[in-house]
Amino acid sequence: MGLLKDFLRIEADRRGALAVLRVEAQSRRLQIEEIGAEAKRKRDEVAMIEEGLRRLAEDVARTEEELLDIESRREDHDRESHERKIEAVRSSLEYDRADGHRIAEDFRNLRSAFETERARLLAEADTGRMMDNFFQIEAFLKDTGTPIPDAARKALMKERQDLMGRIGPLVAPPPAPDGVFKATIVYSALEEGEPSAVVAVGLPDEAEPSGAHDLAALLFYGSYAAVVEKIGPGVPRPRREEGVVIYEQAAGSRAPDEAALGLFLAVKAGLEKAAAAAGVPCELTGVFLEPEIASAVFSRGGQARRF
Amino acid sequence: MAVKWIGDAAQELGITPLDAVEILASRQEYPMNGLVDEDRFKTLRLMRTGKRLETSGSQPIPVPDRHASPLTVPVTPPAPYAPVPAHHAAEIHPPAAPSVAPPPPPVTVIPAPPPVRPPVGEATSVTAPLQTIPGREGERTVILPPVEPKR
Repeated sequence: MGLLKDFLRIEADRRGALAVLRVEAQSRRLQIEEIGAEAKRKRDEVAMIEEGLRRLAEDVARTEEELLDIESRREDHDRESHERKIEAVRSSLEYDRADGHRIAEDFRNLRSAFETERARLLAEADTGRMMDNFFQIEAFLKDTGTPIPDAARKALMKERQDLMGRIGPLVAPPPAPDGVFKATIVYSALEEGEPSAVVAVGLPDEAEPSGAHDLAALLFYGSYAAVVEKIGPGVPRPRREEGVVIYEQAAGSRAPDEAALGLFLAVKAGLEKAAAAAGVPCELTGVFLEPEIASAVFSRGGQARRF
Repeated sequence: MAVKWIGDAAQELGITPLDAVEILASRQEYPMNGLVDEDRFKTLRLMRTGKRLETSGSQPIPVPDRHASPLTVPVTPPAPYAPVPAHHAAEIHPPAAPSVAPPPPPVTVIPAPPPVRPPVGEATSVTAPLQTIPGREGERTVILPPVEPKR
């Protein structure tokens, strides 16, 4: 009876232990399922991140291509603006030259006709008498110390007007064209090779040989004279390159910019003085060129005709 | 007073117009209307000779080298002459030894001639020496009192 009882107790303990172990095994299986689900979720997240990374890499590659394209377009724009600036400088100088040629022609025609008329008047017999009368009347009318009756003044002024109509070119200042001589003076500092200053202006061609009615020669000589006066004798002669007058001077010990400014001011002052001496109004504009533009427009030293 | 166009004046003097412009402008005498009066024409005529040399453009003047030899070379005293007998010289320098070069002859140093100067007192230019006339007491410096204006 004791043995059976022991067997029953042992069987009951075994069944209890089996039930506990079954529960624990079930719990472990549940844990395994949860870990598997977590791993699957993580794998999905990794796959999503990898997909995002791939898209980001594609975006980076596309952006780099766009950047290269932008850089290429920027270079194209720079090249285009460089060429347009060169073309603008050339066309401006060419326009100044053509416009100056027109004014120079007007000047030549006016002065030639004026001189011809003066010569004709001087060849006439009574010109001297009329000039004497004119200047006497002028002096009389300007003399404030002598009172002149109104009637006499009126008669004198009428006589003066008549004489002016007959010998006008002999007593009047020489005529000048109505147009204004406009020019753009470009200047720059060339720093490639020997630093030098360069100044260019689109002047019309002077006649060969030049004459007193040659406005182009007057302006050209005046500008060179001013350069010699301000900078000193021995400065390099100007040269003509495709019709453009170019002054080029080695900077020497001075800064190229400073030398360019000095040369520009000298040329400008000379042109202004010469135009004023000819009675031609002028408007000059100075434009500083970037050295690379100037280097492209003007050849260095003496490739063109020197005077 | 006759005036000429500067181009015509230059052509008459045988120089280029820019030469004429440079001459006058360097003396601050260039007329901006290009018409040259007689005084300026005389200036051009006087200055044209010096200008012709430069018509081909400005000539750069080389910087003198400080280490270059001077115009006068130093005169070294010649070595004393010591005649050597012919047979003794043959013993010293046998003809069978052609590799030994004979000593170079002493260089005759000739000093450079002095620069040609005009005679003293000759008025060759404005920088010529002033002609001095010694008085009875000899040369002396006299300080003249300032001239007082007449009252």
